[in-house]
Amino acid sequence: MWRCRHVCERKFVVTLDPNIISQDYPLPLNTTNMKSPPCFEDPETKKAIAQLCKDQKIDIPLLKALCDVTNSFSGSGRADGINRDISDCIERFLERSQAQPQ
Amino acid sequence: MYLSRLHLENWRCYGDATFEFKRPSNRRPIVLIGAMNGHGKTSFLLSLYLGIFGKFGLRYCEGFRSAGDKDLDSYRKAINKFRRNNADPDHPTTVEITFSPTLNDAEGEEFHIRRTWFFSSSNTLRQYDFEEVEIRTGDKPRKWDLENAPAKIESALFPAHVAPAFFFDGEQAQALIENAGEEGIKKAVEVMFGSKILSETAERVRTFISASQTELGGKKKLSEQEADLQEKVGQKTALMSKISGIEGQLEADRSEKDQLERDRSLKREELARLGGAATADILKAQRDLDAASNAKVEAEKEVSATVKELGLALAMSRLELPLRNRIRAEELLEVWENLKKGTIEKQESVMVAAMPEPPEKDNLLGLLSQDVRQKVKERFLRALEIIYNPAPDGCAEDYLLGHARGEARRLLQNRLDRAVAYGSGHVKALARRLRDARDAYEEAKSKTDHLAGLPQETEGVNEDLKRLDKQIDEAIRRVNQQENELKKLKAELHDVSAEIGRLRELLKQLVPEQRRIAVAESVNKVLTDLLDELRPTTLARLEALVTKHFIKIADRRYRNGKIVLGTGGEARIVYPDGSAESLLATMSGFERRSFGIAFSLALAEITQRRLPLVIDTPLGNADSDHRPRTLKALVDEDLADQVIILTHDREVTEDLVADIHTNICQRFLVRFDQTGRHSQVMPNEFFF
Repeated sequence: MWRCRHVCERKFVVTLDPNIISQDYPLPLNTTNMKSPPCFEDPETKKAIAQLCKDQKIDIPLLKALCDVTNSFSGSGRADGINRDISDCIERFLERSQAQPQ
Repeated sequence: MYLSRLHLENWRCYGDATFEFKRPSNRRPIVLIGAMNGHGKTSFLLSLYLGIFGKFGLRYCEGFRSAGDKDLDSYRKAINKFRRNNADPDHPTTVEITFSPTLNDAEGEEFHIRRTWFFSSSNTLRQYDFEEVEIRTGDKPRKWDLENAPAKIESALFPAHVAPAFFFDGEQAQALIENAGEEGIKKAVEVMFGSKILSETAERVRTFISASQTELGGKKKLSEQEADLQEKVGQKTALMSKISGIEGQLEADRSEKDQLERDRSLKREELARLGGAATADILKAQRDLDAASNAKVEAEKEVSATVKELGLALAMSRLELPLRNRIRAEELLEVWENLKKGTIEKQESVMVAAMPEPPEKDNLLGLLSQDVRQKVKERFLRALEIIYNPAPDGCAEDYLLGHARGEARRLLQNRLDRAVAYGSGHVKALARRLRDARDAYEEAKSKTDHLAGLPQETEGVNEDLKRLDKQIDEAIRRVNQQENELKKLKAELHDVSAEIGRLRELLKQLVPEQRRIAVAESVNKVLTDLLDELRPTTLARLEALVTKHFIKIADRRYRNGKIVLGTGGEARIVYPDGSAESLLATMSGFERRSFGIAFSLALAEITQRRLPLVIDTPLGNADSDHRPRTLKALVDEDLADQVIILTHDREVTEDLVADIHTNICQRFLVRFDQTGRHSQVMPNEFFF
């Protein structure tokens, strides 16, 4: 179900204890209001995504967070700030990677 | 999520009408809204498109299908058209929509949108500020600007481009397939599994990579920057090694020179001894010669340096007065030009402050006619010109010293001051000193030569002395050469060190940024590969879903078929024996409509959102066999918690209602009141 999305909610993710966010699914699957694209939940495509991420040494929460950022800017005419948000997502991924080296 | 309330004011045939919907249960999801043609079924549907998505919903309205998102003229035309004809100009047109959580939505919150359009006294949409949208989540209302509201709405409900999957009429569902062709199927596939958002994300990430690389100075990668740094460090090491070598050589040459000078001194003493009584004279003459030689070299150096420094300045000093006047005049010209430029730049904002636009906002001068306003504006502009016209006295007409502006002009003045301060007297004194030093040297040399020729025995010593003099001169030349070379290399070392510092500073920023770029490139690779893998999978899923919905609605003869969506947009049904037929070309009108409905239902299922389905005249011209089957398929689908069916009296007939009465949650009858000239909503009523 949809939940109200606030900027502070996203920022909250950044302040999570690294020990917590470095677990299997470091970020809650539904950190914002956006429902993950269905391919992330489908058993068949989920495996393909996991393999691609493993090959490229990134994680699924990063992809989901980036989709969320794109969605939040989609169709609204907003353009300023998307690069900063993408950079924040990547930064959080790097923090996660450091906390839990692969 | 279900549609719990729809309030319409001055919207097409509705004057002030409200639909209050009950919370549906799993067993009773159906809401029937009956209305005769022209009484408000399509108005209901249009209010959802435009009320929820504003201008982004226009493309789904009959007559405006080709309107783009930025086509404001069409949007204004549509809103003017959809306003109730006899509405009071003082009352805006309002569409208010509330979605509430069903029992299945445990964490849900109410989502409320109120969109209002304002009209002028002539009952046409206002030119400015004509639309307002308020969104309330739970009990927190907030007004949103029109640019950001769609993102909020889309994230709460669904993207505008899939609106026809949830809210559609039968004909539109058919048209969706017939008109969209390959593009329609592609869009459907893009929605499925979220590949559209993946594709957009890949695009955004590529833009991010490009912007980050540009920010870091072109497309140079970390490895390239590091290679540059390594090269500079190598250069620095080589320079330092060279400098060290030259310093060693210089030290040796200086020692050699000192040794030669000591040897010469000894030879001179020997010569003095051989000279007997003339010893004192010879020694003195030698000392005088050394002193005169040093004085001559010093004087030459000073004259050379001073002339080099003051050569231009001396020339300038002769032109001091005219040059100073010229500099002052050009400075005035520059100040005047800046003033003029600044005034011209501010002209527009001054005019806006003095005479706000449009005239309705101008309390003071807004009442003037357009012609008079224009004349007043022109007068203001002429008045503004007085600020910079005419140019001040003494101002140059153009720049002769074009290169000397701002800081350069100040430096020129300083140089002029220095030249005047030195004056030619200083150089004359230096020249005199040089002439005296040369005379003294010549005199000392002549005296030394004279004394050196005295005794026969001194010839050998003299030869040694001459040889030593030559060697010393050669040593001095080498030392000077090395000192110059050393000076040049040290300057070069300074530049290389500065470049190394700059590169190290850049790398400090570059390392984390390049790391982010590297991650972004990995993301881009994953998304690109993922999209390639998803396309065949998603198409297969879409075909399976459309087949599932279609065979429930369509004629029994299609029951064993499987729908295949061709790359050219052609939909075919393939049977187990391998035979196939083209659906859209061979099917009847209603079967094509069934296919359209099946396609829309498949799209709704793909989005995985449990939102209300609103279907206008789903049965159309279906026969008595298809009607119950289509209706039953809509009832049986577990795609939505609420299915609102807009129908007329000949479509969902009494016997059909009897078939599904256990699934009906609520009924409404909408009737146009000829006296009041508006449609009335009558809950709990229907045609029969």
